Amino acid sequence: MKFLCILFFLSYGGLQETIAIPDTYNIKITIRDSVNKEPLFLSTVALILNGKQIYTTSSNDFGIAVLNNIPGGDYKLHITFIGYKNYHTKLHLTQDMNKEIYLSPEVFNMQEVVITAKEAKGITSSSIINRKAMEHLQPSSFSDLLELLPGGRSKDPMLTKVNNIHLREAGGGVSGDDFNIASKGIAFTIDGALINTGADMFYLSGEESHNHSQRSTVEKGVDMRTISTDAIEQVEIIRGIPSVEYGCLTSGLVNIRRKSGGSNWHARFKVDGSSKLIYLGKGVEFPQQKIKLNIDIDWLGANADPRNNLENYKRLTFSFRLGKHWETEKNTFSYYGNIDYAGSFNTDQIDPDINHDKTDSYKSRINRFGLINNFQISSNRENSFFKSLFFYSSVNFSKDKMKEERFCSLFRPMIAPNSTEAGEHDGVYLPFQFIGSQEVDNRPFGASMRLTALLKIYTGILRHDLKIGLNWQIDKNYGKGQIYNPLQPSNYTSISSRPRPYYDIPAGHDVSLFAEDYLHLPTGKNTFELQAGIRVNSQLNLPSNYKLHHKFYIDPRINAKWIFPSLPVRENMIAFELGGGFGWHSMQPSLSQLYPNLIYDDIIQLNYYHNNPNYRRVQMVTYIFDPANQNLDIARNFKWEIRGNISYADNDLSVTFFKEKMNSGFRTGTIVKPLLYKLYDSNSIDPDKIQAPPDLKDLTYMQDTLLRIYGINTNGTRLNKSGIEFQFISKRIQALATRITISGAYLRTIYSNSEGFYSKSNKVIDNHPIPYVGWYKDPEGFIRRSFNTNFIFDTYLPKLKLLFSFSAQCHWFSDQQTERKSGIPVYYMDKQGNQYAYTEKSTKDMYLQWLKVSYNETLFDRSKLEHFNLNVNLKITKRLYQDRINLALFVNRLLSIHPDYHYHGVKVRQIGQSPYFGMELNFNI
Amino acid sequence: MKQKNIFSAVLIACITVFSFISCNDDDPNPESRVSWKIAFPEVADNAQVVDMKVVFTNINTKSEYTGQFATKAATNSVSIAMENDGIAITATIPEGLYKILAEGKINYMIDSAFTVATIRAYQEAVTVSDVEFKMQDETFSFYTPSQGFVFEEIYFTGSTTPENKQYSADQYFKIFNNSDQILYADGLAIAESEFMTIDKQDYSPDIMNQSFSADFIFVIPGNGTEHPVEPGKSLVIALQGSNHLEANPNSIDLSHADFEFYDVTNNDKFPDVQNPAVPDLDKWYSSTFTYTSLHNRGFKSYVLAKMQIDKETYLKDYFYTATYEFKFNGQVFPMSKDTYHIPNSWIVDAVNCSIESDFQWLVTDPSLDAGWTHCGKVDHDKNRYNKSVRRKIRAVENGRTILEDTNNSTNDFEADAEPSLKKR
Repeated sequence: MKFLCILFFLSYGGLQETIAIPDTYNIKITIRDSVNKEPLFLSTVALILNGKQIYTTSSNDFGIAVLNNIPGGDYKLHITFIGYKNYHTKLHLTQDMNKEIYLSPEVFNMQEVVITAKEAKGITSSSIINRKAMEHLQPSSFSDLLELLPGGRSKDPMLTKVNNIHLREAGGGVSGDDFNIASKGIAFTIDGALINTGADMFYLSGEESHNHSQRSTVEKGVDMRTISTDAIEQVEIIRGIPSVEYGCLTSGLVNIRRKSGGSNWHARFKVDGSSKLIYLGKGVEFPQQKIKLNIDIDWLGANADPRNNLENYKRLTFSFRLGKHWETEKNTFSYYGNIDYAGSFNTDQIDPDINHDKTDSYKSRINRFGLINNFQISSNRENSFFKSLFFYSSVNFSKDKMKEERFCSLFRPMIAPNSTEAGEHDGVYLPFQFIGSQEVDNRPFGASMRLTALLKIYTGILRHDLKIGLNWQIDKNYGKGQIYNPLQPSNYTSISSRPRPYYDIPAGHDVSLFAEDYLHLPTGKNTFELQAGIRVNSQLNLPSNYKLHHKFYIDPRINAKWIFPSLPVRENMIAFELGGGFGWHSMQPSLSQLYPNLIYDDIIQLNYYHNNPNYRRVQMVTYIFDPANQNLDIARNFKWEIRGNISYADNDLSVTFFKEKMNSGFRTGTIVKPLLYKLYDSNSIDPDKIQAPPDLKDLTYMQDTLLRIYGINTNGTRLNKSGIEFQFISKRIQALATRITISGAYLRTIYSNSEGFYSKSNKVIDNHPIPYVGWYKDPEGFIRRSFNTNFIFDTYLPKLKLLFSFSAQCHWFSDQQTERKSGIPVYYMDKQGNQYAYTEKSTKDMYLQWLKVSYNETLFDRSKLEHFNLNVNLKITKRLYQDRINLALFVNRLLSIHPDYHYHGVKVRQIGQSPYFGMELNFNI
Repeated sequence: MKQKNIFSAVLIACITVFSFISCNDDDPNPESRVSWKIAFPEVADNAQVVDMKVVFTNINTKSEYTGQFATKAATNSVSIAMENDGIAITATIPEGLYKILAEGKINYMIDSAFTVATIRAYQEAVTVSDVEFKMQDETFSFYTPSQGFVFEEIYFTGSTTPENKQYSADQYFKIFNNSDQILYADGLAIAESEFMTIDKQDYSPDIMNQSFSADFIFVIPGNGTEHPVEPGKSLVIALQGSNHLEANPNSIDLSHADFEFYDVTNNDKFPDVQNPAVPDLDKWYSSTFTYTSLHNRGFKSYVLAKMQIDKETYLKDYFYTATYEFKFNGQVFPMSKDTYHIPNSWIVDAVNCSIESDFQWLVTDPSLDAGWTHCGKVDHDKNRYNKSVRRKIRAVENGRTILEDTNNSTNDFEADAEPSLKKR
């Protein structure tokens, strides 16, 4: 948009040419910030002659404003830019001029200083977080910014585990693999390029520890702790319905725009309760060549606990960015090239004093490289049909390794997971002590390309901004996959697959076409805007038996906004806006969901553990099962919202009501397989008389069937969100130099399932597992509600160059209600696969009574998750030495009010957490 | 069993006939009308009598006067009448010194389901005199033929390896015959509690005064007389009957245990091995589809019970659903547990285990065990390993060891004891 403005002004400048007379001169003025020397984009330059403004223009991206063919004479030059002091000077024009002018930041009326996320006035609900807000917030990683969203709340950084994003979820979202779509469905773009996560398979096979599940990123989307905030200029978080230009998402979009240009060195040193951060950045500009360069380096070190340096997380990011522009009479060409590196390192070691041979360790190393090449052609003519063409392309490759070593000391004889073929064979006992080692080599590769053309046509009084484009993306993994010796795996009790190279998994190609019309209809003093688009998406390179093969999905998305005429109230205008929209959002399954590992199931038929080790024999039958679900479909979310905005004298109130409905989120569903096996009876031979391991021919056996339930990827997750988000931002009250921001959200989220499932009882009755499985239609879900409001008072004292804010973060309540379920299966299945209705009589059967799951009736009552509590956070930033040094500190929970309450007849004392604080020093030289 | 019953019946009949003859001929004493009211045990107050037999034995003359409830084949002299909460016995017998035994089977309710139990009341020396002789009211006690079996030792902590890692497969029980006669271990069940002594909950319905909720029940196989245990002798029952010294030099050789817990799991992840030289217990029930192990921090309790009905009926009818509210950190989690219960009337011995720092309640009725024993003092106590709980010796009579059994494990057991099977 800004770009279009500059084009407009440039072309306006060009128009002057036609009325030029001889004896004219050209003026070129470069406008910069007097403090950081950064160019000021879109500052207004006016030449005034005899009190009349006769020539105006605006500065471009490089802060350059050009006025050509100005007749010689005495003028007044006025330069204005919001947030800066006006600049006035006399100008005696007798020759071409090239001038550099520095504007000082405005110190008295700083309405522009916004330290919170501001509700954008776009066509859908979104929050804008700018540099100033980030500086005041003092984040360690992108995760910390989410505090600024409606319903958000400050959280202590937890950098030793994966940080996933949750938008519009009650109580900050839930963890649990069946609801990964909540975070995975939120797309991140950096400088227009999507962060691909579709080929991520970074996990250790069989590792079931809680720590590991918190460190694995598979199917969870972007890990926000790996994104450094210091290189970011602005973040836009679209909570509503994004343009059809964006796909691969179900519930939201995060657009990150990084800094471009500038000339200063920036350095930041931050320390807080659990982490240290160092950042160094430099911008370089070559106005003549229209080149901008930026380099950013950032290092973060964090510990799970400040007293424990054995479990830590480190991040190293590097970014080099280049921007180059060419201008012709008709068009402006731009090129943006980025080279990025992000390293993310988790280490966990066990205290050497208790660690046997210092072997127990866990290391994960992520080295992600990215390359972005973006081209842009924009027309310099205001009314041309062709406006601009964008070509975004990005390639990213990550070389990740996770390694775990563990001294394994078996509790009892265990069997190695070494079978590779189906059928009967003898097993191998693991040694009682060994050093287990497992490793994963994960090399996800992703590339994406997006071609977007912007066109403009008029039909009558209607203006259509058309957007059409093409989007292609590839996900592929070149890693070697899980690497371990099956005779010495560290997770010997839980491995159910065998090593397979990730590079054998086919690449995923996702292709989309999109077209959108942004329509402006001025109707009298009203303005109506409508954004209507359609996105067609398909996954290529799929086996023909997959449901998704050759299937196209259409996502229509519509947003509309009505701007009512402003009404004068006293000396100011009151403005109203009403908007809303609806749309479908789809996401294709990722590679690990389309091509899951084969399941190896070894059923032990004989485990003859003779007192003489030479006579022992373990014999089993192995079944190999491919759990790939050919019927797997896309995850699809339908969303609608209604928004209202009222502004009066720089006070803004916006309210959004939304509803999101997804019944096809990715989930691990169930499938039943009956497996035949033999149960050998070792009593038929005399253990005292044998001279060798028993020969199976000498043993009698009973043929039996085991009913096994396996997990397969399905579309069975139901995730429904609804709620009201609101934000009020006041004008900065002059007398107090304070702005009041009230933002919050009431959120209601249903986490549930949309399909039935098989389940069996784990009980063993009369020496054998229960020979039936049940099919249940019960919802396995719960409904969460939460209500938060943050009251932020931020005071800016320009004379002291001091900005401080108090944020009172109220959590009114959060609760949860389990969806009602009967616990009674619809039907049950026997070993032969026969299905029978589950009746009252079944509840009296010795085995079938176990299929009825009993629930405590009070389970279905609404239960409190968190009672009212209030945290007050303090943040201070102070500029020193001509704004070259910025000193900042924060104390979260400076004041923490957690009143006691009574619940179910019990007095509950909420234990408020202790304050969490940090400091930082910024240099701007 | 049947044969034995017939034999007893014939014997009793002969004795009865013989006593009548002797009464008529040799006893000039006047007759007395004896009445005795015996109430059912408190936990079985609405019981139905299935079978009841009363025998009055004249200590001097050895004459017996028998009455039987179910068959009504009683002599005219002894009759049994049902009352609301017990029975009333009336006997017309010659005056004299008597021992009186009433024994029978009842049906009663536990949580709206029927259970069966054997009950007994006994008077050692009663002088019967006067025309009307009213004996003092009494209450039946539960009784099982296995009474006398006790836990001698429970090694639940497991051992540690030289690298100080846990090794838990060498857990074992020792079951001891504390009576003065040969007892048969056939049909004797070992069960672990479903509930934990460190976690008191208001389980509803609360049946603890009537029954014990189990998370596993393993039963010694046999036809009733296959596994005799001499007085003062014990059985070693291993969780895994193999030579654990192979895996861990600090462990125990259990390759010659009398029985082992064998779990047919068919599961390569948590397999159980089967030693052909050690007979397997009959696994009636286990709450999980994996190998069985004892709670190695000692939060659970154990009972020995004589199962009084067949396996199938038991597994069908002794189902128990307990609901409760688990409260933690200000949160309330409504919970439900499905399991089996063993009537207290079947239980011959019980041992509660816990730890000092976290003990909250006993998970047996106090009549079964009024105390608890332990290995270690706090949760995750590293000092608990390689220790067991062992019943104290009360006396040694004629070479027969008699163990302490006051139904209070705090007194009866030596806590943090040296495992008896561990070689020093």
